[in-house]
Amino acid sequence: MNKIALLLFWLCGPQAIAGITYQKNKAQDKPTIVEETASSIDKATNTGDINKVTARLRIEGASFRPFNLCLADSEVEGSATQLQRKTAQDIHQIIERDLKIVHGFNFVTHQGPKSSGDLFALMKQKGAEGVTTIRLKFRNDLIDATIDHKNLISGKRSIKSFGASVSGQRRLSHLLAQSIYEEYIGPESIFLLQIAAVRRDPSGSQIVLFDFDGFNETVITQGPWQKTSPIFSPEGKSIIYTVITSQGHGIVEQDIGSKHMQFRTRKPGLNLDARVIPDNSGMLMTLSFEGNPNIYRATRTGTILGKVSQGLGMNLSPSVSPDGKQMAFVSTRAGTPQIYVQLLGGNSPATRLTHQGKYNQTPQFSPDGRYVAFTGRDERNVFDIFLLELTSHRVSRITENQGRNQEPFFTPSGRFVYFTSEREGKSKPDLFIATLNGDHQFRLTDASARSTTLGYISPVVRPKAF
Amino acid sequence: MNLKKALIASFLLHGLLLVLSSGIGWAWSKSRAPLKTIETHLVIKDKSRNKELLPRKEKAPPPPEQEKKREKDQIAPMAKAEEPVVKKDTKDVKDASIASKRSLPKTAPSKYVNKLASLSEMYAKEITEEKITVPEGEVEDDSYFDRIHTLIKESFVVPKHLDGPRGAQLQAVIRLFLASDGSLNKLTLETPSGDEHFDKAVIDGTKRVSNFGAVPVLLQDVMRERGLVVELCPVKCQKSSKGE
Repeated sequence: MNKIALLLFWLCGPQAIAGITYQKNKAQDKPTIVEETASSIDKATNTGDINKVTARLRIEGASFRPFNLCLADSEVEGSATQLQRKTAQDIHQIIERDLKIVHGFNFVTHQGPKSSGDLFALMKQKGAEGVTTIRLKFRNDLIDATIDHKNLISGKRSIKSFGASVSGQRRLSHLLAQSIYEEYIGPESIFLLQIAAVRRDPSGSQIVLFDFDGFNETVITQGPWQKTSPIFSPEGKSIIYTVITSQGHGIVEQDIGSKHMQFRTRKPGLNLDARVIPDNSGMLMTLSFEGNPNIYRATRTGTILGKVSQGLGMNLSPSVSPDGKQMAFVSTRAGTPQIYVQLLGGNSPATRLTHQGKYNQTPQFSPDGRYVAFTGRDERNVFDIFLLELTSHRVSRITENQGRNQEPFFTPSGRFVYFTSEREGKSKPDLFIATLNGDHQFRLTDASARSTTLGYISPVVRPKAF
Repeated sequence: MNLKKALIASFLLHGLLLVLSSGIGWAWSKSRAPLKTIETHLVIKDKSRNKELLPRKEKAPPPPEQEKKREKDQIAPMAKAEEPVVKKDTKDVKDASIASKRSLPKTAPSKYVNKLASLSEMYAKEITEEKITVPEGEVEDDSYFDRIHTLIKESFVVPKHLDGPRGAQLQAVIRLFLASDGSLNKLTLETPSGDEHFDKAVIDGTKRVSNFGAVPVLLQDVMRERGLVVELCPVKCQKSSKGE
């Protein structure tokens, strides 16, 4: 028995030890997720799965730069007189200036005529991204203009035609400039809009109307009274402004193109800053017939409905938001003039927007209601244009170190701000335009060049083209 | 007494045998290459990837022309080579039937599903680095999506007036549908930014890319039918706009 036990032990002992070792090795060798892998492949190869997957990429950080444009010299079809050639040259210059005002283009120069194919190849070589050529045809006192845009990057070509009388060459030029801008950058209505401003003369002041570029100045008011704080009606057909007569202030409305005006208010004390509510349902204005200047609501014809601002300190310069639900205004309730915002209707409390600077004034809502531009006096006692974002209350600067800048007013697209500035050693206020980031600022008028003018103030933009 | 002697002798002999077998085993294991543990992993849609798994060292898919040629050359031998391996591993008829599905090109889609899923996952995490960082184990460069990213970014030119408070908040989402040769079949603006100039710049910029490069064979259906969603911000994206 013992021998049998010894024999069994002899035979089985080592194998048993080796067997355990083998099992361990075998366990390590064996792929542990074979089953899972196989089923995964099965699912992955299912076409339904792959089609449900959508890849997404996020790309941040663009290159901000102007579009490289070759604006070829305007060509005149047929045999042109010297006057017609001069007109073609003038149109070209107006277009180029228009595009410089709105910025967005870097001009790649082109000298001399060339066939389309050669021109495109040459300009592409020079770095141009687009080539625009204009052909003019004169028929008696009419001009037919054909504008040909060739996008050298996309290869897209578009040709448009415009017509105008010779006397309407400025408008034709603006139309052509707009066509170029919209072709390469995007929609923009500014080119056909007009601006109004108060022109201060030694003998008084008048309201004048300009093209968007500061040219084509036309006086639209008359009489010896001082005029101030103009604003267009929402439909753009009339202009509302304050007159300062020997008997006091009054707010009047005048149809553009007509010399006839109608008084809307004639209260004792200040009658200022009339602002029409966008749906044309009424007006806000600053009146002081009860003592301190306050903001009142009135009907469109001037019947006072009641006080809107709370009677703390002075409240003035209202600007109505595009939705007509709130107003931004200036109040001295905290001791210094600051910008506040308040809901219209009910007795809503006002919220203070500006906390920096001791003198902030002339607030203006942007057309999208996201910003309020205002004039602020900084720590160096210099007036500049600032931009306040309503959601974050973040304030950025549009002008800096360029003289005295005041009275911002947004264009309908909200991309540009008109304002007045005394800069470049000139003491008379002039009209300027700037992009919201302040990178680009452009002088539109030069009052110093005219001895009969003391300057331009209070620019406002006509909301529609006429 | 004899039994005692026999037991002692047996123990000694067994001990000797044990020492000898251990010695032989050690020498044998030394003479062999170390065993490699095979680990495979695939990521299925909606299943997050196990980060504990080893990163894979994959190469980017070659351009389709080369890939097609290579596939022609390799499909047969690779299919043959793969089948027995799985059969050997699993020793299972069911697995063998699954393994038959692993012959090219059906093994590869998992890689792209994985890639697409990873990108979607990455987007979900709102990774905002300028360059796309591919998750661990993926190829960092040469990928097709990196190529698209680079090409669009190079053409991402925006008007200068948008550089400022207004532009800082813009965000547009487009969808590209690519033909197999990499040309743009269709471009749609999925979510406008609210600024027409920026939207135009995004569309024009993407159209500037004349060709995105031939689409890898296995992505062709997705790129043609479902497209690629691209979110563009002039400065930094501030919100997620997953609109799927």
